[in-house]
Amino acid sequence: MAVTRCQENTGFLVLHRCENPAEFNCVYCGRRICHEHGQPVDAPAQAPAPPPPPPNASGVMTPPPPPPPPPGLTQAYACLTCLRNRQQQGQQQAQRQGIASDYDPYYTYPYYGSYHPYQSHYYYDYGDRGVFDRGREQADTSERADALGS
Amino acid sequence: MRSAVDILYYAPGDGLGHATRAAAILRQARRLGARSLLACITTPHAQPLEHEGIPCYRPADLTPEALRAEAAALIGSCRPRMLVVDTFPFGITGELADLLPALSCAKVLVARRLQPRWAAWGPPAWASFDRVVRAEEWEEAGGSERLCSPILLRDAAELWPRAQAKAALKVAADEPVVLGVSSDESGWTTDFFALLRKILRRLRPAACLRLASPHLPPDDPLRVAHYPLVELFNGVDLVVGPCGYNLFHEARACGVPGIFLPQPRRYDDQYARARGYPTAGSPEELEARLREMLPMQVRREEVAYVNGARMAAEVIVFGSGTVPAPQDQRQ
Repeated sequence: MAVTRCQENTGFLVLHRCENPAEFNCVYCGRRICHEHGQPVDAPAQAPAPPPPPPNASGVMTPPPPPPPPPGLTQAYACLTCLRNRQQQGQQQAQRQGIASDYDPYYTYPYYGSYHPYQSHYYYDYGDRGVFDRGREQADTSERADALGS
Repeated sequence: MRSAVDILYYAPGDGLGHATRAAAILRQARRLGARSLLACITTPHAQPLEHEGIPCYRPADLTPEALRAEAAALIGSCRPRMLVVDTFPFGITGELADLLPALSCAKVLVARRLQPRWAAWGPPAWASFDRVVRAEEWEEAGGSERLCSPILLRDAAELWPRAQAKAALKVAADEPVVLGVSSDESGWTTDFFALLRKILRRLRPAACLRLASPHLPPDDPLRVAHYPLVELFNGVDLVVGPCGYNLFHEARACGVPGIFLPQPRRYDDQYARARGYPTAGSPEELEARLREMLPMQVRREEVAYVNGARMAAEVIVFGSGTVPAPQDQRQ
């Protein structure tokens, strides 16, 4: 039996089809993907099972397809392209709600290795810390000869 | 000699609060029947007075010598029936120290919290005034003078209904709103709002972010340019900003939860004002506070408060004698 190749494109300068053997189907687009280009996700709601096909001309019933496995027994996977598209859609929705004004791939794209929601210290830069590290000397200028304190 | 101005409100200082208190009190004084009003400010934030249509004067030169000369000339030409001094009993550079004892008009001080190192401008200096109205409570102030409710630009009954406020904030009626507020300097405000956006982008709350500041560019989609901001507080579910007089007391009066970022000031003690209320001293702390307090649904409480501006205006207007006090009118 021929091994199916992963259907995700890869490559930094020149895109080419991934050479890895496919292991999963993407739950969103159905493409075959390898372990490197697939990530586990929560499975989308199962569509209801299709009705059994009608008997063929000879009157022999074709067996119905097996029922889908109960949720939780199998892990769903999604390809990187679908994950990225969904993140962008989520971001656009957030922008419409007014909570995201720019795209920050180091936060939203998990494969840069920067997504640690509960260990956030390095998420903030000098500008962010400057909001709280305002020099007291700015206010401590009682000798200043003008009327601009408050 | 006839007075050219009934009430002169002298409000030096660099913050928005000084001009806001002047506008709030003079607005109420006008409602009580006072007609000839003038505010003197040194802050560049003159918007509250301009919006309320109250004449205001801002000296061009703010050095102590120039300010002393300007104050003397202004009071001499206005000959006010009532001089109201905001926050600094002797003026912000001591420009009123020599003038006050020689003035024959009635004098009222609207006192606000000051840092302990300016204790000499507290109760010891209040003896120069006929009446002192304390615009907020603080430990060093003692208890003998009249304490009025926070001085706000609008009475509770004047706030916009929730649905109308939500519409003005450009959100749906059932969408909670987090409002970032800053009238601080432009650079700090930019950094603060950038941080707020960054944190909310991470938390992805159900609430919508809106920002209010004189420094925001007009095309910013999150900008709220409404005057006065407190009118929309029925539609706000959480405020975040420095702990200046306006934001702190407006939020408290309207029952809006707040996360405060007290800032160092030359005279004001924002750290003491924020004591006992949610504050943040680092980005991580602000994120944690927001995570705890982010509104999941809109507030439903009814807002009801007594506006201290009305109380202060009664003291000033009836004390000035330009309008008879209610008991006099009955006679």
